[in-house]
Amino acid sequence: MKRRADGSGVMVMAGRRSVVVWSLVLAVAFATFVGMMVELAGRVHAAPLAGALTVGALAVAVLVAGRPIRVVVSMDRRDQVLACAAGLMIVLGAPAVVAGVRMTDAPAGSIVVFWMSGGWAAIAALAGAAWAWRHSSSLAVLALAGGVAALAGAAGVVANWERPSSFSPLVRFPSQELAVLAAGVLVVVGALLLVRAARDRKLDGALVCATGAAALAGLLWWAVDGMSTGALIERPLEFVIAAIAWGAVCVALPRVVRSGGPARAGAMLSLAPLLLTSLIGVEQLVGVAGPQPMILGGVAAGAFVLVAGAAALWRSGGTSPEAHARRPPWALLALVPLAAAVIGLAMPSIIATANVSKDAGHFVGSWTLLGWESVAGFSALALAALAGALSRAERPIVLAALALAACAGWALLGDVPMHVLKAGLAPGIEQYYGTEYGSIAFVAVTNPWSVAAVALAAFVLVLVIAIALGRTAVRAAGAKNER
Amino acid sequence: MPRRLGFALAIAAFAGALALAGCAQLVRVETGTIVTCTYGEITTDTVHVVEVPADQAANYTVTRETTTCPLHLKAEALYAEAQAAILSSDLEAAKAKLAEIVALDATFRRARTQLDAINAGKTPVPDTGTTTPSTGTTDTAGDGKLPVGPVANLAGYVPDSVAGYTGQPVSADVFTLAREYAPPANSPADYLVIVVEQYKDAKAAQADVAAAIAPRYGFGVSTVNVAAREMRFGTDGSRFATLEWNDGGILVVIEASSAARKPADLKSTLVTLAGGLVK
Repeated sequence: MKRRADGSGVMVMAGRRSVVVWSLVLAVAFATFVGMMVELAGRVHAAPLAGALTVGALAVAVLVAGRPIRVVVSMDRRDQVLACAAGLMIVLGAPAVVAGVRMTDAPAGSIVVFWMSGGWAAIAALAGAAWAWRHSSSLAVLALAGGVAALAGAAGVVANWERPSSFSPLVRFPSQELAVLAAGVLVVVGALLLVRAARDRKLDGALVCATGAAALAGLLWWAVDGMSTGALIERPLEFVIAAIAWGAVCVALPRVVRSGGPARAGAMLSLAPLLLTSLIGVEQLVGVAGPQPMILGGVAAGAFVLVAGAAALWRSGGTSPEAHARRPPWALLALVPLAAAVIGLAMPSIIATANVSKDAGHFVGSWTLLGWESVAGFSALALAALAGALSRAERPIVLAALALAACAGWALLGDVPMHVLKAGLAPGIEQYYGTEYGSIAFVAVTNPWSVAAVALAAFVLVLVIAIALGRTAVRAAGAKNER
Repeated sequence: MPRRLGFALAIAAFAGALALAGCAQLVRVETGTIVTCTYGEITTDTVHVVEVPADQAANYTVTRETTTCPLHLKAEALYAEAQAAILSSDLEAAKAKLAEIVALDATFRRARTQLDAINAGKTPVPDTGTTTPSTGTTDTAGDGKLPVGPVANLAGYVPDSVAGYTGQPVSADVFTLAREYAPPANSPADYLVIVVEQYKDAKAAQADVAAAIAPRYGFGVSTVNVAAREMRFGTDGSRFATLEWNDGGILVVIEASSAARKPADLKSTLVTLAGGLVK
């Protein structure tokens, strides 16, 4: 960045740094928040948890604002009301829904993490695609592809946290899980409303209004619920960490949305499974949690897909260069892997075999999981979509390299199911998986359509990189000649 | 227009894929009965696979029954008569009864040993133990007793100690014996278990190896030959290693955990242990 005479170059640089810093804050704070919600929600009542979170959010917003009353007063009444409504949605509504639908350990923690990270990121990607569509269809397509990849990658990571995994979205508790997903709508819509309420001013005033209204409503709910403080006294540290993390999320999210649209926020939200997974490294160093339970190869393969998706989401929040991107003549070729991946979703991908000892006898059952029921099938779709989107993008080298790395690790997801539990199968059988009384095993079967999709996607990505490198070389030679 | 058509086709294909997927709610389940003689042989096996809706799958199970087959009922009667003959020093009568038993089942209790003793001109020690065969499953612990019932003939694979490893209590199921072993000091394995399972035949045992063991222990796979038996070695790539072989329908699996998390290094240890079991 060259310094311009009026110093605007320095300001732009500072603004970019600020965006990066807030994005990092969002990613780390959201991962912490998700981890704490898995830990706390279901073990304590929703009212005290949501109440404590809103108070934490207010505290963080006030601290960041510096002069809270002054910034609130500077807003007009209509914007204040809008900010309060946004606060009720994002600051109180989202955590209240998640806390309210989780009972003891159901839905399982891995499922909650999946919906809160991958699911919310996918919703942000949809909003980001709509946001980007106004000035660039290629960015909108990139946002959608990134959203699918983030969702598939999140599934790949959390489904490999243990074997047999508890990861079975929409099988046992579909309504509760859809509620968690719907909470993501509250988050994204709330963030957009907050940005709108702030208009061209700083976000601090809108945030103080939003968190203030949410804290008031949260405390009111807590009071109506009996103002029980038992859980708070029992787990003070967890409550404080969760409240501060949620406060940081509420403060950072609208800033990221304002600077780069919802898709960039989605990119940061999607990283939660990866950051939570990295805790295993700490556990290994400290040695307090026993043997590491993760299937490292599967986690790594899922992480590649996730990072590629997050990077695509981040890039889709960019602006001008892609606005002029045109579809290359060979763009139709890039749709072939996508078509193959869609067909692969309906083809056999995994054979599951359950073996359970029961009082009445021995249950030995097996069934076939189709492509859409396997992380590999779903990831093939994501990678094919990414390849298609990148064929139209400007500056695609880094993103294409990330997607190519994900293609390379894709085979490691071959035997990872999207759901371990099977809809309809009696819980009396499934409860024994992983115990001395029962087991379930998954064996990958070759799904030629998914394999072809990934191979063709890799080919397209290599082509994209080669063409982009060629263009870069031509431009460099042109610039040299001009000099 | 072509763009909209393409978009509509993509959505239709996606919806079609999901609709097709929704139809795949069938589960293949095994159902039937396996009847096993108290002396180990499977006498009846009606197990077959049916495809049923998932919500009905739990109703289908494989039941296992244990009974004494007519052949062994006859052998038991002859054996009781042979022991009575030995006690009354009527070795000729005992020899005839024992020869008849050996013709029916060469491994029946101590019939072969007693017949060999008589043929060698010696008077065999009569078997004063119960001549009534045990029934059903036994969970005999390793407190000096040996498992009885169908798994009794598997006990030789889980000795009290092998190559310095000390046996813990035996866990017995209808067709399975399992015994954990405490490793000696400086052992490269921090956990060891031997599992022996009786299958209908060698083919069934081999099928289970392919379905259950090979996928889980698919790293560093190699074949070794110990005492004329072909054994398969494999690891899970991170911690556990197994060595298994198929003794004509008896599947023996030695599984160990590597203390250094290098399961491939356990190969020589497992081969030594296997040598101690099949010598």
